[in-house]
Amino acid sequence: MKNKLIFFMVTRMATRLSGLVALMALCSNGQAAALSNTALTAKAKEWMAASESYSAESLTKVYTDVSHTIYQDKIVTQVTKAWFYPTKALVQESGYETLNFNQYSEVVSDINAFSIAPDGRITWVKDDNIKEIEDDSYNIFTDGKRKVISFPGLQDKGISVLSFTLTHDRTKGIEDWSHTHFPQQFSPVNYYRLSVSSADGSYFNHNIYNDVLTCNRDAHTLLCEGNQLPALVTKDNVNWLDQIGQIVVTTTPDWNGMISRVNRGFNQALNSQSKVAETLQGLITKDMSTQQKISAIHEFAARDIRYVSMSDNGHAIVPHTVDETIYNRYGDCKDKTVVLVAMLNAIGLKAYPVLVSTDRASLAPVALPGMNYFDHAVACFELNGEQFCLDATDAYSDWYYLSDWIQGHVSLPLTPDAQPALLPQSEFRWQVTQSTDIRYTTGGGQTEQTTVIFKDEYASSMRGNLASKNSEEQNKWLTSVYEDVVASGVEPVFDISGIDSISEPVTVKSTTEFAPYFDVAEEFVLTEYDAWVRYELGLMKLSEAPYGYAFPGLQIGSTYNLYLPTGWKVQSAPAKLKLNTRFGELTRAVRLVKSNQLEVTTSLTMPQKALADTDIDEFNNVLDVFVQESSINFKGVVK
Amino acid sequence: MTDTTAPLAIDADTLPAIKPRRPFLLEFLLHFCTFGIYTCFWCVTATNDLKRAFNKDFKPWAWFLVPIVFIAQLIMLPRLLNAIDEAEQSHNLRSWSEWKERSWLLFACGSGLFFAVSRRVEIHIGWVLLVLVIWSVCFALLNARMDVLRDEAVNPKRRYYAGYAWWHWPLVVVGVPFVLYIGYSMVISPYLAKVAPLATNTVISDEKHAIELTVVEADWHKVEIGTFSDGSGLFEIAGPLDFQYFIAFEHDDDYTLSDLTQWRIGQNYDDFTVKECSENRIFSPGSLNVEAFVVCKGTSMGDPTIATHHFIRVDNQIFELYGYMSAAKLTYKDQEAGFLRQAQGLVRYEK
Repeated sequence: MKNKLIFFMVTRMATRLSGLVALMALCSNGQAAALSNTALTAKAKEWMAASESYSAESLTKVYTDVSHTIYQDKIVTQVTKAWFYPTKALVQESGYETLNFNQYSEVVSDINAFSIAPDGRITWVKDDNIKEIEDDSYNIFTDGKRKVISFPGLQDKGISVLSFTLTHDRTKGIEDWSHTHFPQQFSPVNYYRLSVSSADGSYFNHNIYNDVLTCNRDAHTLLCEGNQLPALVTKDNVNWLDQIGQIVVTTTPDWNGMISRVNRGFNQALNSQSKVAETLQGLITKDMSTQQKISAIHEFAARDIRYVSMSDNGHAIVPHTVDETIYNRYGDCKDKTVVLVAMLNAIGLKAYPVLVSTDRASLAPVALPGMNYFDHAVACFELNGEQFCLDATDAYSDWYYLSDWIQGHVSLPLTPDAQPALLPQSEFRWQVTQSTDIRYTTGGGQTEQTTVIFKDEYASSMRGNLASKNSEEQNKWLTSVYEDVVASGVEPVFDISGIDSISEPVTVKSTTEFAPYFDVAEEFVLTEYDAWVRYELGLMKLSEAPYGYAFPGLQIGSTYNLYLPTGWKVQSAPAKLKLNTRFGELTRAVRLVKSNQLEVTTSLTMPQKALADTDIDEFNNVLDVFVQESSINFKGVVK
Repeated sequence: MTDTTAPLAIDADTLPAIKPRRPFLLEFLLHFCTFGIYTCFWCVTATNDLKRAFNKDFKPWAWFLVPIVFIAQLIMLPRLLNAIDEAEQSHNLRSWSEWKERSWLLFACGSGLFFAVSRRVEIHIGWVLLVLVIWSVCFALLNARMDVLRDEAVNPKRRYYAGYAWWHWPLVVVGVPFVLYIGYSMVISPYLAKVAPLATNTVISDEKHAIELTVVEADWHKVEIGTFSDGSGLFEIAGPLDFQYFIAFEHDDDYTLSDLTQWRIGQNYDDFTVKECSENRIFSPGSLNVEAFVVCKGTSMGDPTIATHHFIRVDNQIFELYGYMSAAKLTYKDQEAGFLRQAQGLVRYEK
């Protein structure tokens, strides 16, 4: 289940990345846009003439020219870009461009686009080739639309060319303009140029977090250029937005100014909260502890208000009012967050909204103020000196721990003088307790009774997987998990609890009969795998992590009670373990309860840790050793 | 117990038979080759003969315990000598002088005390054999005195074959070589095998320089390979006790740690009476190589016994420091902690 979540996040990140790349295209403009169509087609023919120098296997971004001209009331971005398609397959997959823009504050104009065939034939894009659709991305602070341009006449070994102008109206919306450029892509880039100029003395700042472009800045202009930028290589376990080179351009002078402008929208939403008192009456009672009240409020916001994003009509950043959201019983992350803030304040806590970047876990690239880093919101507060953050879009996590998918991510509290910070992380994000009784039969089979308790974030994950399934589907899913973790070819019977309440751990009990599988001789050696220890360690092993890895923390406790039939005797008990490493420890205690009964108690404790790329091999080796040593070997004799 | 003089029997044929005369050497060998167990029987026979032939009031069966219980020796052996004196006097035989009797008592009881102590405190087998000789000489001398007395008795003599009853012969034929072998293998051979004394903090390594062991306890010696192993050891060291040693082995890399630990534990169950075995695993210092330490405790011939197996991995090869100690209770207690400290000392060779 965790794999699926990781896959989801990686997929989501890739989607976001491509969105941002598209945004980069959207918000960029180049000198070519100023070129006449004739000049542009002449350029295209030059690029085509050089096509043999481009990659024969992957897309090549032949040309990128982005220029921002910053005025007091608007920002004009001109973009010219061209792609080379070496194969038919790539034409099929990628023969289109997407322009993302904010329909409330941005206008796309002067679209000049065409394809050029290897023989030099040019086919222009007409209005029919452009489709405009709503951007319904999850958790994004934009009132977005996208233009999808399908290039007519595009052939293999052909080139697509697009130029356009995007005008951002600074008088609309409450946030300042900022943009992050990513010169490198997953395809080689032949030429890249970024220019930013202040037309009327308007303020802008930039931050260069890359080593592939050469940049020069004077009082009014920034110019960055680069040739032959190598393609990024797809790798697992990479938070790309933390790693790839990027140049941030912003018109926001300081975080505080941005916070106060964004807060204006949140305060506006909080001003209308007449339904809060009435709603709280139905949720909490006077005799409840503060923790119980928080739990009830969180459960209401997370589970009784469904997630629906209505970010149009000026609600890209400004949440709907508290009353509207309570009435509708739906909302997006910021809508739910203001409901939480209003209710938590109503019970005496000083709650505040916090912006979150769901794809960034490093503060290094987030050097300049800008709204474009953030795509999510949560509500935070302090209780007894400890900070808690509630993510009301997560319907399966309890209030006292943060949803696992945003732990350690970049955040910005919307409080005066706040700076970007990383959200807290649990020391152990994945916690499991397993208790197993195995009774061996005289014929060489066994009966196994297991209770597995998933705690906190792991309980959320399990709840997320099980809550929407009926009993039959739950059993089927749990059987597949059992096959992955314990053994296949058996038919375990499950008993599940803790699915409906987010404040309880998820408990899965199973009973399994194993047919005789070992020869009963005078002496025998048996090996039991410490199932969840072995399984989780296997999941944690990293195939690659070129930029390091944020290990989420793993804590597993297992107890195996092994009962041999009467008359049998344990001769050699499993080894006691005390394996300490800088990544965590595996310990095991062994007790011979009776001559035919063993109790084996194992504890795997690996706290969350930021692993450098140089740590990965050693980390994997530790996991290998832990897996190997987690086996429970013992020798028995039949009297 | 009070010895009283009873009227002498007159009809010799109806009298019970007593032990015939036996040469000093043959008597000595019986005591010696049975590690003194024969002395128990001798005491029963001697008191029986004194009772039968000289009307001394003994309960012979009770004398079986006298050689075993030191306190009993202090009381009963003087009484035995008194009874012999009285019998000798009644037959006008010449008794031992007072100093001779006192000397005999001193050596006999001193030996008894030594054996009593050796049951609690481990004493080198060489000393045990030496005292066994003294003990055997004492009782062979006393038997010679008894033989003179028996010659005066009218009782018929049991039938012996060249000095021994029929069942004495196998005892002597088997026992004498056995004792000599024990003496050779446990006194002479280890002495000859001691290559060098090992001062504390001496570091021993194998020939290939894969492993090393720092000697942390005093009075250990390096001994020739094969002294305790079958010759496959990489090095062997002997402790101050007779059954106290370590052997370093290299194992075939086909075996896993679990294979080896279970094999050794099974072997220990075959070698002595194992009460409990435990195994602990940790990382070797500064590495991700797992090392295992197995301890099996139990008894051997009634003495507390421990076997240890410290397995370490060096470059995918598993090495073992095999340890064994069996000693009298008090000595075992005294030595166990140091032995266990030494048992965990095997490490990768450091240049």
